[in-house]
Amino acid sequence: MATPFALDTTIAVVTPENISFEYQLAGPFRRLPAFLIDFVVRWVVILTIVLLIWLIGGLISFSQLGPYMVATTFLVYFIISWFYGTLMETYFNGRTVGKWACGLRAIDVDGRPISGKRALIRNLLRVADLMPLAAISNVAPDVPPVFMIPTGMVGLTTMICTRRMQRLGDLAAGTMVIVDERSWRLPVVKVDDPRVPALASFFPGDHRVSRSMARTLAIYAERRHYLTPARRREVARHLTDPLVEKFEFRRDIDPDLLMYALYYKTFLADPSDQAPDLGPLAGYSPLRRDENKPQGLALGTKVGLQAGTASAQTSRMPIDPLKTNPLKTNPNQHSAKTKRSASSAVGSKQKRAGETE
Amino acid sequence: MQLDRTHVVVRLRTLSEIGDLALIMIRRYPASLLIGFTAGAMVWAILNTALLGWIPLQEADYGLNDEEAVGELTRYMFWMAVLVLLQAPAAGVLTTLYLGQAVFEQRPTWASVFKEAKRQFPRWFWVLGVQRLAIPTMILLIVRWGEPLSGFWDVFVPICLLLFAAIVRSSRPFVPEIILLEQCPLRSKSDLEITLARRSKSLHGPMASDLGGRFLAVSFVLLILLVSVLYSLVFVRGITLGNWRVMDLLTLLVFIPLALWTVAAVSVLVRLLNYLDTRIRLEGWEVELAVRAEAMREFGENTGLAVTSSQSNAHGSPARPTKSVKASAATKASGSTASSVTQPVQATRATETPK
Repeated sequence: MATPFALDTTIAVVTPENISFEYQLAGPFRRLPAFLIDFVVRWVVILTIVLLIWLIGGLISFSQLGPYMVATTFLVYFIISWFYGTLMETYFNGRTVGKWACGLRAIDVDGRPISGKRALIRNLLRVADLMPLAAISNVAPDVPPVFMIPTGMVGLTTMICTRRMQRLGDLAAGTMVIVDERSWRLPVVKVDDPRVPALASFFPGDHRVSRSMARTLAIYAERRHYLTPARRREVARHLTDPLVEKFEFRRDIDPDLLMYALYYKTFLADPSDQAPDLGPLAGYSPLRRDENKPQGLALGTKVGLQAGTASAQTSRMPIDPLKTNPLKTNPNQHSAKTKRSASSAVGSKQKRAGETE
Repeated sequence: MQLDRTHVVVRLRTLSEIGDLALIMIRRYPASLLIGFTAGAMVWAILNTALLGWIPLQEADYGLNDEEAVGELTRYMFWMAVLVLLQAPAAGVLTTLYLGQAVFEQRPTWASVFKEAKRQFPRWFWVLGVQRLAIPTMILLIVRWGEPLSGFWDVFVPICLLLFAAIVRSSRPFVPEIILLEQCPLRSKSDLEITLARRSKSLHGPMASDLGGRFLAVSFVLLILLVSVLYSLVFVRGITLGNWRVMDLLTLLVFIPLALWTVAAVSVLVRLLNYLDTRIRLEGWEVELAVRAEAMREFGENTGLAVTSSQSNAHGSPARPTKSVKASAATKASGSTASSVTQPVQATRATETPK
């Protein structure tokens, strides 16, 4: 989330039909690979056609057709150089080969597909955007002034100055280039940790999260897999510490797991469903008021739900952990992720124990 | 305050998106970037001209186009490029501080930026000026002032400096941000405190190969940009004054340093955005901001700023136990605003070093 005018490479477009879209703009650095691909494609096409013309002309009669072949070569070069982009963008919905490869598309500023006229204007003005052209003869006077290297400073300057990152050709044609392949919806994260629905069931049934909280939970659930377990807990704690107090969970509960459980309850749990089958976690309570009840601890699942230490675990568990810990008694039931979380939870508790000493 | 309502959208980006975002920031803050970088680079640019300007001036007496001048002028351009490369992080201190605040505050004041740069002067000058060889190189050029071209001193040494800068920049690119924005101490007697070296290792280590690749890509683009800017300056002069000579005193003394410093300014901007992106990738910074902002919305202003005693630092290592209230107070007392880009680390550090 950011301020409505926050800096980003996106732009909101309202179509004439009053439908609002948000596009991600393609600036010069995103367009550069597409431009280079198109450059290569153009020359491959030109050379292929010219080679074919000269091959056929040579087979028929080189002496008679020679001047025509030279003229045709220049004609092919001219047409493909100047109209490759126009034809491609007109007939392929604003895409050239380079744009297609890079996931870009030219559209008009209203969000509609680009027309042939607009495509023609923006492609004809490309040469102006590539100015100034550096002549090698400026540095080496012996070199003829035919080798011109485009610096593209005009196009770059224009893109910096315009809100839609348009070059001169785009400005004249009323077009812009956008990123075509981007999903803006947060994916639904699959929860395969059996502890999550178990813990989620302990949130009060009438607890409703706000829209911003739901978005925050979605962001967290999507990105948590890229973070280390320690970092997950560090991030989650900002929100889970007050939640622990509010709902009277045990204070040594794993913040990451609690956050994940709230995500599950918000997005995945169906209120009409029956109570989840907790399996080996049945009977366990993460609530503070049940902390001293033997039933809760007897199952030994605190290893999974808490950021607990091995020493604390052995000193507080009355029953042999090998028999009571669900991670040990039925290892096939739990994923590797569960084991990883459990081990990280142990490490966390060790750290906490070290801090409080 | 809402931590997730930033003025630059905090999200994962590709390198090309970072380049495009840099251009958008140039459009949004043109005057600020110009003032900040000019103020930071002016002293260095004047010193560079004093150290190297004698070479083209001396050669101009004999003619800049003769073959004997080529070696000396190449020496001048090479040394100028090496100097600007080494000095760019130090010259970009004001820009880094300004933009670091601008992520959260739309228009930070220059007074606060200058004050902060002055307060941190010994730290950044030592690391960015001395340890990164900008000052030693300038001392070398003072010693070599007026000396004729030498293969060892004017070819071998600058190449070595160039390689040194490339290796350091590619492996430890975000040291300026760590010093200026995160404000990590250079050294500490405590094993628990996040010093510059520890923070640098934790930030750069996991992304070493990625950072190396990004360095190469950015260097290549900046090199092209340098040539484009330089030729554009010559082109504009040619169009307006009809003077198309490439090698003259104006080009050597003004256009080349100007093009180099322009590209250096862009590099500072791209580096800062790259730093934000690295923190997002590595530490889930955007997630932390969102979570803390939500905590503040749901449970009050102090919730998101408070750092609990058990909170680990950026390394995931244990933090020293202090109360969250003390952490919050220490953060405020240190003069750092919670809206700073560095706030998450500062707050953590405040817990670890109770005053």
